[in-house]
Amino acid sequence: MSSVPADWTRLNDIFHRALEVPAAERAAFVNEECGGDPELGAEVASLLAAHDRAADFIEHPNLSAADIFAQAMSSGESLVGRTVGQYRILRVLGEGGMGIVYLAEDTRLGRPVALKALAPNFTRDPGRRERLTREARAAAALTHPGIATVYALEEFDDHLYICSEYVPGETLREELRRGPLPVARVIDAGLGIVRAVATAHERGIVHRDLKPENLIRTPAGDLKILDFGLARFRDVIPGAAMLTGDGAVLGTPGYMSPEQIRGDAVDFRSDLFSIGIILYELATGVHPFLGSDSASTIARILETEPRRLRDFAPALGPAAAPLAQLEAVVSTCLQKSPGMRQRSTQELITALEHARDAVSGPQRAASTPAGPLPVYEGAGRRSPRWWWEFHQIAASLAYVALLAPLWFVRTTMASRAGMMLFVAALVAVITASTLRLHLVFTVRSYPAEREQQQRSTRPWIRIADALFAIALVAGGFEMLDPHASVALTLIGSAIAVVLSTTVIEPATTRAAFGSD
Amino acid sequence: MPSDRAVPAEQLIGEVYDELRRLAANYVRREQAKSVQATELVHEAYMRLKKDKAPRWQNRAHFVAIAAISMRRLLVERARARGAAKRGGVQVQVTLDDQLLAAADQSTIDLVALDRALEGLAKLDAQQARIVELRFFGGLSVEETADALSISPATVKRHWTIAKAWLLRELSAS
Repeated sequence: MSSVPADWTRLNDIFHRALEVPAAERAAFVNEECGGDPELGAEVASLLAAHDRAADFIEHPNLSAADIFAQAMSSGESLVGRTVGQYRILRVLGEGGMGIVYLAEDTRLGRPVALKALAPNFTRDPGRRERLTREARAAAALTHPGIATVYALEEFDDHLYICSEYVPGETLREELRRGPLPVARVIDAGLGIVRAVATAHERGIVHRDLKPENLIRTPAGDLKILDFGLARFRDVIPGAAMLTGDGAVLGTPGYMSPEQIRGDAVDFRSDLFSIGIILYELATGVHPFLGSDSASTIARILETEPRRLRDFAPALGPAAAPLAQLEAVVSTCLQKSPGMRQRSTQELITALEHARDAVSGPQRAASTPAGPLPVYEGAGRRSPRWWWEFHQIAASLAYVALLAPLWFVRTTMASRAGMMLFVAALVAVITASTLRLHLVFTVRSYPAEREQQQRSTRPWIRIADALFAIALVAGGFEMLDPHASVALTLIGSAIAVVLSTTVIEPATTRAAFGSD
Repeated sequence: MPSDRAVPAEQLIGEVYDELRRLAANYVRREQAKSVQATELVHEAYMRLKKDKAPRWQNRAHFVAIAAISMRRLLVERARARGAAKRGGVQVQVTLDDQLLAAADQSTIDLVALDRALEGLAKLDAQQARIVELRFFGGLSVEETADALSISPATVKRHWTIAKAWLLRELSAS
């Protein structure tokens, strides 16, 4: 309870008692009550006078709050022609999730800037304001030719403004209206975007709203990303929420990752998903998850697999031939589970570079089968990961099958040495096969742990392989005399084991995961 | 009390405030803005926020008390912004005139001045200021206000009467 001043209590008391007295006698009553305190008497008298006039004053609140927004959102609120701080506002550039964006002139530095007016007085919550300031500071620290620089978070008259680099040019959305791009240009655009994104990701900054509208092609032909690190500002704009409680979907949800839609924690891999959609759309002119409305688009992002890129080939004609190059990259980006996407933004850059090399120089790529990624190119339609899994499983099965001739060897040898040989082989086979199948399972179910698991199991697999090869060779020499064909099978198998583990396995691993 | 973890009021205010803005923006989009009153917004915001997975509202009164604060800010800030836009133009800010007040036309109430006066009243008597906030900005009836503050309706009426007189006098004097 807050304390109430003593004379205020007394004033209240006299006021209410005076109201019970007939109007004509009130003045006398107040005089009497406030005998020694003319000031108090005057105060009560003026309140009584106000009371007589008060009537319906503030009795019927008739405040149309929504109406207020109607006005705030109408163009009448435009700042064009006004000067805010040192910024002279020239014209409206656009209206985005964060509010209206103006082209303004920084009169102090004499340069054009993009000024985003955030919702007026959107918060007095100092905690949130501080959070936004921190985000703006992080965004401002990002300098890359592919990212529109954030210059400042300004505050004038209780309004917040984000001042950033003005990037002339047209957005990728506008470019898309003219139809899909040739694959080589899609890859170039992708590389431009991803290289810029990578520098932000290195600093732990995720864009969270990559879409064609946020990508601008400068007159020089380069791409620049807008609004990096500013996703949080969108949350404070009325009506900018992606999902409203009554199920209406606003804004452009078409570029959100599944984890973003579900409201899960989001990291750089969410941006990779958005980039996958953008590249897909640039290559085909069609959004991979396009639904009849926003809600069905969202459902598709969560549930359906997009049409394969190469299925567009007939529609796109011969120009679409290199689509397959892009397909592996894009489909990895578009994995529903973040763990199944590229493990790093750098990995996406590498993949795009390989795709670019394959597209621009198909002969060179074909003549260098040892090149890491294009290996799968000659392998038809299987992905590198499929081949890696195939190798792991096939090797495991072959090992088990080879136990049969070794059992045969044991029966022809002196019982003790033969048994030792067989047990050694058995241990090697169990170890190698179990670990390989374990890796396949890990890649399928817990992709995030793949690298760590591979690192810890590799020495044991190598030892088991070596032991198995030795057992095979030993068995082979033992059989040379009685059964030459069995001996050759065993020695040949030993050579196959050695080649498999030293050449094929590292190659498939590198192709599938980018490193061995 | 249902919540063992106390959520700071300031945070709740922010939340309600955002919800109110969102709702209002929705109305604007559906072009129903003209017909919606602030008090309806408060009610609707409550209906929606109480579906929270972990409701932090002790009861409806608690919510409305917070919503009234939010609504007061929302309305006053808007009025202030509008006032700022007018200053420097040809329009002169109209001060409340006794005649107008007698007519008690709500549209002439200077919300910014009322807000300032309410702050003055809060220094004298925080509970009275609270009552005005709940009734005027939150749209609560005398009974609901009594409920929200855990006092009797008669007390609310007494406080309301003098607070009204006091505010009117302050507004006329400014």
